[in-house]
Amino acid sequence: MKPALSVIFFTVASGAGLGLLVWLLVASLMANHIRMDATTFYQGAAIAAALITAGLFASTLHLANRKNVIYALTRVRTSWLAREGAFAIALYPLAALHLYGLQSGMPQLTPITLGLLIADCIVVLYCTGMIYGCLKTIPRWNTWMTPVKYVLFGLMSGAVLLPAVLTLRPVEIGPVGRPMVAIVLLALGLVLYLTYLVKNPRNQHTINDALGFQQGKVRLLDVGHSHGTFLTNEFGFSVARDKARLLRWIAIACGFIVPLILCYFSQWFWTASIICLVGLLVERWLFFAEAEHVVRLYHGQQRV
Amino acid sequence: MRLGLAIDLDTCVGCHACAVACKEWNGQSLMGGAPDYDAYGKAPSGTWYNRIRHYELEGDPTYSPHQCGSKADPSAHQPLSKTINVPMSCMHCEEAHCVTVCPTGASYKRAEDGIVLVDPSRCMGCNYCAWACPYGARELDQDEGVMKKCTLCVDRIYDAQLAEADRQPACVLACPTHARHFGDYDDPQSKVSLLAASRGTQSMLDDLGYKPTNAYLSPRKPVEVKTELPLRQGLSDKAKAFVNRLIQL
Amino acid sequence: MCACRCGINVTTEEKDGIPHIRFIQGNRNHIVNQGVLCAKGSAGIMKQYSKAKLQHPMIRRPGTERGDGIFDPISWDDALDLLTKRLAHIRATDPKKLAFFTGRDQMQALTGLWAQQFGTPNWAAHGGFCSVNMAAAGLYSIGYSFWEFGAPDWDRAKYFVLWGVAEDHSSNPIKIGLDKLKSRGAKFVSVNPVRTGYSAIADEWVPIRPGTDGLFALAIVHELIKHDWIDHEYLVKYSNAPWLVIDAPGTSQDGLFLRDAEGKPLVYDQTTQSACRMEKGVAPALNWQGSLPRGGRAEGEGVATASALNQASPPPRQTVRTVMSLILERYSAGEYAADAVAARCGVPAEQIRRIAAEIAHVAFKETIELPCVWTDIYGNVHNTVVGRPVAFYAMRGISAHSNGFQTCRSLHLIQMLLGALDGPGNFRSKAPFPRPIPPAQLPENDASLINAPNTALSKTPLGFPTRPEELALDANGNALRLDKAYSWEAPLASHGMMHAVIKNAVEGDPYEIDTLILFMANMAWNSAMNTAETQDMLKAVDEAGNHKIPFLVVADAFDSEMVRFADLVLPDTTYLERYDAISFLDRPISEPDAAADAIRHPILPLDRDVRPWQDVLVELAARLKFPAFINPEGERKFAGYTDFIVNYERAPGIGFLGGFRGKDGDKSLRGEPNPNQWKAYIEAESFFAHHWPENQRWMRGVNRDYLQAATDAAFIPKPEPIIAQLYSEPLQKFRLAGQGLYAGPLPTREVDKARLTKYFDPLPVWYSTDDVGAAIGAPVDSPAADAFPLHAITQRPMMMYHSWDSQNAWLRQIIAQNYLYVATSKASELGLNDLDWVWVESAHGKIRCQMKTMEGVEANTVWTWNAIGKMSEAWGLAKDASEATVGFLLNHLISESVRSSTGERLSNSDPITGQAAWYDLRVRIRKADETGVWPKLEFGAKQ
Ligand SMILES: Nc1nc2c(c(=O)[nH]1)N[C@H]1C(S)=C(S)[C@@H](COP(=O)(O)OP(=O)(O)OC[C@H]3O[C@@H](n4cnc5c(=O)[nH]c(N)nc54)[C@H](O)[C@@H]3O)O[C@H]1N2
Ligand SMILES: Nc1nc2c(c(=O)[nH]1)N[C@H]1C(S)=C(S)[C@@H](COP(=O)(O)OP(=O)(O)OC[C@H]3O[C@@H](n4cnc5c(=O)[nH]c(N)nc54)[C@H](O)[C@@H]3O)O[C@H]1N2
Ligand code: SF4
Ligand code: SF4
Ligand code: SF4
Ligand code: SF4
Ligand code: SF4
Ligand SMILES: [Mo]
Repeated sequence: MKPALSVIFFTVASGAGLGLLVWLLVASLMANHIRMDATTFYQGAAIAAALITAGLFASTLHLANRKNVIYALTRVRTSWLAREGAFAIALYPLAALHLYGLQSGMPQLTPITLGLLIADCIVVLYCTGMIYGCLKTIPRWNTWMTPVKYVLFGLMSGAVLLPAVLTLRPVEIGPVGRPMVAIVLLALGLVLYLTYLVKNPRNQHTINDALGFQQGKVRLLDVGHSHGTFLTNEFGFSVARDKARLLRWIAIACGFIVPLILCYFSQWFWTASIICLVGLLVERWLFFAEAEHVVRLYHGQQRV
Repeated sequence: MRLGLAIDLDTCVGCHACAVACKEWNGQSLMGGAPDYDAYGKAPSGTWYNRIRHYELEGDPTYSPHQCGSKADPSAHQPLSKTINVPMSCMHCEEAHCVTVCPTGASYKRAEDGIVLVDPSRCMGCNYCAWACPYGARELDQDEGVMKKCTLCVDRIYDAQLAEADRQPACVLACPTHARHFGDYDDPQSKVSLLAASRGTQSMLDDLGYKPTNAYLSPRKPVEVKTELPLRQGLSDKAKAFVNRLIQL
Repeated sequence: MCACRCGINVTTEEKDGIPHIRFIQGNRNHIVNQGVLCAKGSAGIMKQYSKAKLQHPMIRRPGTERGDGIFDPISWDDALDLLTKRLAHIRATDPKKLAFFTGRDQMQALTGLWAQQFGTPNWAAHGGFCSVNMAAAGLYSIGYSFWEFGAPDWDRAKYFVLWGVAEDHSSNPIKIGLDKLKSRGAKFVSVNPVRTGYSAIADEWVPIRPGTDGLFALAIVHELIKHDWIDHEYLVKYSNAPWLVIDAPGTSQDGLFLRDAEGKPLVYDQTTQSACRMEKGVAPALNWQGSLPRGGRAEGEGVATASALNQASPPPRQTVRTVMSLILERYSAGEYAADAVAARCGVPAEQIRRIAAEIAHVAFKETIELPCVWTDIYGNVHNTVVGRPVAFYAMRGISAHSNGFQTCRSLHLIQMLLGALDGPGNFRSKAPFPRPIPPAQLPENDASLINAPNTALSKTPLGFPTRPEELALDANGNALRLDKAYSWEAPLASHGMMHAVIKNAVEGDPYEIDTLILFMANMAWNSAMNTAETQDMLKAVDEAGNHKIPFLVVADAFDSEMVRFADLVLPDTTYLERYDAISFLDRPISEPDAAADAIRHPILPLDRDVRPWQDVLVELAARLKFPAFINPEGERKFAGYTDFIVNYERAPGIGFLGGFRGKDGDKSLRGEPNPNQWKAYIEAESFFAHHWPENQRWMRGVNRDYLQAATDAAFIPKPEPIIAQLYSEPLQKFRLAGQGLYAGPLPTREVDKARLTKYFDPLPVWYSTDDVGAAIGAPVDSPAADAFPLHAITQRPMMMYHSWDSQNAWLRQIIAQNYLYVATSKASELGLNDLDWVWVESAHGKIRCQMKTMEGVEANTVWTWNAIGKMSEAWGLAKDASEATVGFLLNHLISESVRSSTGERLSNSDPITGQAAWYDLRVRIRKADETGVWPKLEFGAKQ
């Protein structure tokens, strides 16, 4: 699949934003344990909101006909893309309500809105994952791991961001301890990613399946056009094997291992966050670049 | 009604006539066009609703019952090779995932006849439906920014202005080998239903569960002639053995 | 009508008051395409809107070089004045200094008439490229032919063999027909080195080695006669198998038919045991040899008898034998046994034997008999017509080889032995065929007429010689025609030899010319062999700096490669903008069941300053005062083309169009001119069809009622039987000339003698194309053949018409780059992979191109799609269009000339017909280090 930078940025940025929001909210619940003042909370929330919103905007960049984005929510009953949009947009009124609750002293509201917000963030992450995970046409994506990855990686990057956010006002809150949540999630993320790489959901369909000839060897003779088409452009992308291997190591190292080490052994949470996000960007790029659509069988690929 | 095409892989010679007729009909119709990009430039490209691809099937004895090529000359030895031309447009799937994934509702499947269409006035050009289509049937119109696909010539098949015989998809009318048939698969007596039943069809990624309406009629088993003529010998020894018959002018 | 022969309905739409094409659809009622339409037809809309359309007449800018492609606009008046002046001068001095050659059009009746009226023999069309081997072999054997003069009986054939066809002229009928065959369960065999297109859907594919079909066919003949799987009745009654051939080696009579005093051939009657004419009641022997008392004249028509030559008294008796006995003897020989030919043609012996048996089985065990009352030439009335439902069709895979004529005759030999001609299930004739064998039309060869100023020729320049006297030679035996058609070099060049024109003109061999007019032919590109050098020849100048071809006029509709080399460009209309007639005097659109012709009429108004070329021809004819175009008062007779078509009569009642004749338009095929004929055609959907009544539909060469009807329509001169010629006497006469035995003109050059002796075999033979020297100039098995072990051929892509469809915005999306296809096995042997760039070398030159592997190609053959490669900037395409940067043309590797072993320059052609031998090409390939196509030609630049 063509790795559209806008979509990659969107999924990573809003994923991290959603994760951060979740952890901020959780942290605010556990105010007794985590020393976080309101300013820090709002600063963190602003960062989360910026990430989410920038991501959402970026996601519209790849639309060829943006004026019709107004219809984008009309098929929530069937479309994960519509659902994602709807739940993502729902974040804003929910957040407003929550704010209202916090500020105007309708404290009875806040536990509800807080719960809803956390749930919505996770649902949005899940929907994003399902946008890809539901596609039977792309075996690499069509696995339970895809939505789990989206949720987990979002929460994970948010968890790495949280201590970074907390360091914004170090004077008042003092030294921050080891962010165990981030560390645990990074470890889980690593396990999940490695599982995904090992399981490597692929090679499920052959060119013979695509054409319905089960005996003999099918090969493409001529694709019927000399230059690119929408299909080759959209689905024809391939990464060189060496490059993919290198990028995979980068993703593993930057996305998980280095942040984990930094979080465990140091206080360089911003560095850890940025490295983690870079790693996730690489992971996401590979997620697209390595995904193979079954239409490639018709273009001559032997297996997808 | 379940309207669709039956495409005969036994007679398709891969001439691209259907693809061009489709482009011609749809390129400028009310349903919206099928534009060209860099038409006279370095790498011409464009939006098509129907494309023909050509494959080779090697080593399937069903389709090449006879070994060919000279055994006396091993360098001329031929594999059992069959060339197969495969035109592909929208299958008008019963489980049209392209429709369910569409967030805007621009993609829809008509209840009355099963035709899958895109409403350009709602489409936001997200490509998501194209991702969901296993058969490469959808292509983005870069000029309008909306998704395009085979309409089953919905603007021909119901057009009462046209003569009855012309109420057929453009590709079906054009196809020189009559490899394309159009009809209602819900009617067991329709030409397409009968053809599909009698000829057998190819399963194309059926395990994905899209239930394509269009059917690809399998190539027929090659005709074999059983000879039962007397093998007379002896004539090879020149003309002497040849017996004149008394045939009067 | 569409670009070639199909009927179309064009829907237009007004945009700003101007009609635009909205949709082109096949005409369901049309007898050719029956509603279907090919990709080119549908894409016609984009040809109309092509950027490459020429806009106005142009003249080469003074001071620029030919081939720079820099022009100034010129008005039509000035252009025509200039041309008229030049042509008038040529016509008044030496008319043959005008050469007028036309492309793959179907207006030869007019262009030929024009040339004849001008007085130049130097006219021909593309037939010598495509099809003359097929046309000539058929017309010298069965009276009709593959290519456009016949079609398989798609509705009844049970066994169909397609020899070397990728697309052909009647591509839609073939496609419609293949579907019919397959749905009826008939067997379809494709003999073709490559398995694409039609071959893809064949029940059996025979991947033959190029150039060896003749061997394969004669091995089938071997099987047929070995097992007596032949149609005795057909051979006795309707072929020359029982005719008696004189066996007198070393005399001028040898191999000629025994004829009576009136020149009628004789047979041996088994009842009276004597030589008789083929007359009712006679029972001819098929196999007989012996001696007969000297009957009537053995042979007339200026041929001296043996006695005249030998100065001896004639022997009282002479030895004769039937044609059939010769056939039995020749083809039962071991050299035609399946085992003997298998390795050579790459078809296993077992497959050859099986196919022969299948053909025979279908012919004789699956015979069909249709109720139909018809009368044969002997007056016998039949209540049924018997079909031996085996049909063949063949085209350029056979034709474009230097052994194509004899190979095609070999195919006809099979058909004749099976009696599978023009009956139900057979290959059937299309009006105006069958015609006498060969057609009674001789090429102009009167040197005094040809050299006479301001004088029309007595006949059109092309025809069918039957003996050396009828060649177009001057007193010294040199060619009268620029292309050397009908010279000793190509005696049966029925279509002329366009591929020899430029080279001969530039070399002044046989003579120099003044003006060359090219119409609808891309002679600077893929109509040329040896393209790069051809371009140099077009530019060539003598010591004085004058062009060797002094003036070059190109009539084209688009900005082709050829246009850029013109001195004067006369822009034509497109086929949607003009009137045209596809005439009975030419190659009409007939189908077996109906004689039919067709017209075009303008659908769109002209949006630029162009004129229909045919109007220009009629205009020039009037200006130059051609006798047929002016009345006795010297005034122009025809206002323009449409007027000409309606009112010109070749014979009383016979004009260009056969439909809606007579004052009221109620006469068919023959009748006075009808002033409203165009209107009538337009109302009748632009075509006319005369459906043959049941009794005139079958066995037409020997069908009395048909022959009469055809005579009435002036398709044939007399209602005389058309007897299939297994043995060709005209060929024997040329062979005698080669042997020095013919009492008439004789060749003097050894190379000609050898050619005539070797190739003019009256019975079909096979010889290696390598022998002819066409491709490599050396006999097979010589080191040269080893040096170039691969055959290289092209195929027409179904969605591209030669060079001129790459301008089409839609079609070029389908193919804008071609590859050289190499068999997977061969590629791995040579260490080559998909998408490698390779050098392809022939004895003549080399090219660099990109390759792909495939399974479905004969292992010693490489091939590509024809004419995808383009010159940079031609055709309205960008300079870096992939047609010019990665697409390639195979023609660079093909030489237009070959050297004989004695050093003469000969054209690269079939030695009998002069058919361009495109597919004899032999090459070798190796991996290239560089990428990109080579040579890359550019206008105004020298590679
Ligand atoms: N689409 C399209 N249609 C056309 C044209 C076009 O340019 N495009 N051109 C028109 C013209 S001008 C012509 S002349 C006709 C020609 O029409 P075709 O006769 O179909 O011409 P080719 O494409 O040369 O096809 C020759 C076939 O013979 C095969 N072949 C080559 N050598 C041999 C051999 O030795 N033996 C056998 N058995 N097969 C061999 C090749 O693989 C190829 O399939 O087509 C006409 N129709
Ligand atoms: N290697 C290889 N070379 C081949 C062949 C092959 O098989 N292989 N085939 C050979 C054969 S059989 C042929 S016939 C030739 C054909 O080869 P070309 O001569 O290239 O034939 P076309 O492309 O049909 O067009 C000839 C010219 O006609 C022009 N034209 C088109 N429509 C009109 C019109 O309405 N009016 C006028 N005045 N001009 C028009 C086009 O612009 C073009 O310049 O190629 C030959 N060359
Ligand atoms: S073929 Fe593709 S576009 Fe057509 S209905 Fe099926 S999934 Fe949708
Ligand atoms: S591209 Fe258009 S039709 Fe397709 S999913 Fe997006 S909005 Fe729907
Ligand atoms: S049915 Fe119509 S839209 Fe669909 S492929 Fe055929 S011509 Fe194109
Ligand atoms: S028009 Fe018919 S034969 Fe040609 S590619 Fe299409 S389906 Fe095949
Ligand atoms: S073969 Fe194609 S281009 Fe030629 S006349 Fe027929 S439809 Fe037109
Ligand atoms: Mo041709």
